[in-house]
Parts: sequence; C-alpha cells; structure tokens
Amino acid sequence: MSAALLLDVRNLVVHLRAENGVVRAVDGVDLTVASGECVGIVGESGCGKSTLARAVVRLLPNVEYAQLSGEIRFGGIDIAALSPAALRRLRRSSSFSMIFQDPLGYLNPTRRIGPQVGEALSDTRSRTETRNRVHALLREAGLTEPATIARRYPHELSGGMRQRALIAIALASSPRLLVADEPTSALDATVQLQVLATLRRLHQERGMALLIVTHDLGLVAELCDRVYVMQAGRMLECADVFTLFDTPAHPYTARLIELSARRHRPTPQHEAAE
Amino acid sequence: MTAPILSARRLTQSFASRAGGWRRRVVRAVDNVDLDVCEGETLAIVGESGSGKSSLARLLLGLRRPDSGQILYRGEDFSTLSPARRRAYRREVQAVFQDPAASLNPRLRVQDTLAHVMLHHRLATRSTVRDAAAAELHAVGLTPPDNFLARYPHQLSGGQQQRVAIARAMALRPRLIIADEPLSSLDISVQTQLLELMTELQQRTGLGFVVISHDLGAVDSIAHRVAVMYRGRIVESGEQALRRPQHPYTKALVNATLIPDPRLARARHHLAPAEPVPSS
Repeated sequence: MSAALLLDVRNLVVHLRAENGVVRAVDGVDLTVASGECVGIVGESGCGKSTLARAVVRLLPNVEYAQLSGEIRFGGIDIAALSPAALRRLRRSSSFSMIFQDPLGYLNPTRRIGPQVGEALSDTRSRTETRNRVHALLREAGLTEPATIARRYPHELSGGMRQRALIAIALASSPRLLVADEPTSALDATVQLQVLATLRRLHQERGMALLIVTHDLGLVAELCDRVYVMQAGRMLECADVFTLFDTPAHPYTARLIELSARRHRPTPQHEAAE
Repeated sequence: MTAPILSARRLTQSFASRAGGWRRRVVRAVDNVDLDVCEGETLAIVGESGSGKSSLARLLLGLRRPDSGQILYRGEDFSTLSPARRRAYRREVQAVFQDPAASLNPRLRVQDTLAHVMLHHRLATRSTVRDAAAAELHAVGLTPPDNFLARYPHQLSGGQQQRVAIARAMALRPRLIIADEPLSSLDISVQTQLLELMTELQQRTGLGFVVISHDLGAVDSIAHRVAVMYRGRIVESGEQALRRPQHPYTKALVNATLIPDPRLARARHHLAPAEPVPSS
C-alpha cells in the first residue's frame, strides 16, 4: 500500500493564533491517503479536523497560523516546505482540490458561474474550447443543464447546485485528491444523498482519492473506506470503516457510534427486512 | 384529553418572491395549516428548508400576523386577546431559537438576561432575582450557577448558551416552549444532553413543546406526535408519521437519512466494497 501513498502526513503540528496566545489546533498528527482511497476524518466541533484539512492542502493563510511543523508529503513532495510559486504550479497540475461546507462563501457573488469554473482551468485555450470544457465539468459535477447554470450567479442557485458548482471548480485541475470539509452538512437530506452519490461516482470514475472531514458518522458509513477519529487535535484511532463500527478501539469512538445509532431509527424497509 | 393550549386554524401566510426572474410571484409559506398542541406533549414539525416550518413557528409565536386563519390561545383568538390575556400568553408561550449566540444579548451577563425577563413579568423582585436566576441555571444543568451568572454569552460554549436560552424561557414558568431548530448547531453529544434536559423539564413541569427540526432522528426520540411539512402544508401527521410514513414526501424524507452503519448504508446503494476478512 505504501507504494501508492498519495498523501503522507507525519507528525503535523499546527498552532493557531487565538485571542490570548496560541492554540495547538493540530497536535502531532499522522495521516495517510492512498491513491483512489476514500478516507474520513470524524470528530466534534473544535477537535481540529477542519484545520488539519486546510493544512494538508496548504490553505491556512499565513496570518492565521502561528506555526506549522511536520511533513506533508503529496506524491513524494514535501509541500509543507514548498515555496508559494511551486505550490501554485502544483495546484494547477493534477494534485489536490478542496470543497467546503458553505459554497456561497467560496464563490464570487458578482461573477457568473461559468467564468469562475473557467478561471480554474490550468492551460490557456480558445474561448469555445474553454466553454466546452466548463460545460463538461459542470455536467460531470451533476448539473444537467450546464449552459444555463454557467450564465447564473451564485445567488440564483440552490444550495445543492452551488455545492456542485464548487465541485466543478475543484475538478478543473483534474485532482488526484479531493478534500471535502463537511461537503453536505448544510444541505437538505434528500439533496445530501444526491451530492454524496455524485462524490461517490467521481471517486469511482476518476479514481480520485477523497478525504472527507465530517462530524456525521452516517456520512462516513455511507462513503469512506478508512476512518480517522480525532479529538482535541490528536488522532485517537484509525481503522477501516467496518472494523471501526464493529469494534471501536477507543471509548470516545464507541460513544459517538452509540449516540448516532440511538439517534437513527431503522427505516421502514429495514424493519421489514428484520 | 386536555384542551389544547395553542391551536392553528386554516393558518395561511404568503410572501412575495422574485426567485427565477423579475416577475413577482407569491409563495404560500404556510398554507391552510391546522394544528393543536397540548400541555405535557411534544409536537415535532419536520420538513426541509423552505417547507414553511420556521414561518409557522413565527406565526405561532405571534411574531407575525397571518394573512388569514386563526391562532387560538386556550381557545381564544390571538388577534382579539385582551392586554392582560396577551401578557399571559407572552409569559406562558416561550421561544428557543437555533442560534443561541444570536438570541442572547451579547452585552448582558447571564444573570442580567434572566433578571430582565423575570422582573418584567414580576416573577421576582430586585432582592430575590439573583437567587431566582441561580435556581434557573441549576435547573438546566449549569452548575454550580455561581460559575455562570457573571459570564457573558461569548464566554460560554454553544451547548451552554443554548442552556441559558432554555433557562430564560423556563424562568417564566411557561406552559409551552416553541423551539425552532434548537439543536442543529450543536455536536451530537451536546444534542443528546439537551434532548434529555427537555424530556426532564417536561416531566417535572408538564409543559408542552413544539420542536421545529429538519433532523428526523433528533425529533423521533422526544416527539409524541410529528407533523410533516412540505410546501407550506402539513402533508402528514400523527404518532406514526415517521415510523409508518404514508405520504410519498415523508417516505422520501425518511429514506434520505444517513444510516450510521456501513453495511446497511452500502446495502442501500448496492455498491458495497469487499469487506475485510476478520483477522481474529
């Protein structure tokens, strides 16, 4: 498995600036993602999971973190030490992309969707070529009328469509890894299921690795092959998804699973099956 | 069966909307809704965003006037209540909102937030209000109260803030609390604690709850009855609305919940990856 390691994080420590001094948000974390794997990070709010996710794609702005140490190897390159220019080149070349919980916060409200996707395309092409490529990306993200959507502004789209637009932008660089921070938490249940199906399809069709950050064990059960459980900046345990749910190693994990299970009633179909 | 404390009769509320072009369209956010809620019971109203559940909550709280239809408070039409009866309504029917950080005054200490409402309704005097506030904090599990009385909302966690919001409602000895998405900004362990707190408060004081939520799982553990809203209408309601859904929308909603069990979840979409061999 180590031969195909896409992301290899070693002993990552992130200090964030806080009101009074610094907070050790990520506290010596190891994390790996193999090519084509779907990995989940679960934890409750404040455990550092979003900070970790942003750190591994180098999206923590300098003003925000006081210090980042450890290794983040992506395809063998230590990106923790990469210069801004080299990082920019890497982003444009089949490396990694990220999507977020609130797509509206990451779309430009004053520009139509089409140009925002086109801007993410790496190489220069003719306008027709760009437009066709943008439409293909929007369609791949599950938007069935790309020509119409491309002309819309973000505020004219529903939450699910906005998330799909963000996915289209993320796909533009043909990433080998997509980091998704609570990708469906802001969506209605029925829409959530559809967006998850899209992520699953992209994962399979493109062989794209997924790193899913969530508080929702239902999402992990639905999608992930392997799961990390995070608490207070540290990894409590890591296991494949079936082992984790069957025999959680840590009492904290067991409690999270129990609370989620207690919350979920069997649906009528499952009752009938029992 | 006791008489309902709050009822809605053919309640309707419309908004002008410009969605999809510049032509103004009228959206019926609440469309001919009938419901009754009694003391001692929990009525859950579930639905997805835009289904009108929050609009309904605002009407029930008297924060908006309906276009048509009636709200009955203990059998009396809300719009023609005498000032004294309206004051009684304002004390007996309380609200808890989704975002406690927004519904608590950031410039008031916890004790002042509680004192405000108790003094206003003359449930305490200047000399007794501090002890009364402490007792309310104790009742919602913020113990010892002395640790919390002098704090500002931003010095509390989300779960603690929501407990203060509940304490503020409970301080008035309400008979009904209308809670609009009271849990959705909180972690699951905190949600579980608050659900337990709500059940305990109900058992101790016999108050009723109207809980508005999009989270079927959270609602199912505390609701005696569930009403499912879709496009402003209540399409289905009853004790078994979520367990034996009849309406296609309810079925879709129930089936869309994520299952926190990898085998069941994957059986649903028939894409289960090969399971690992148990390595015992």
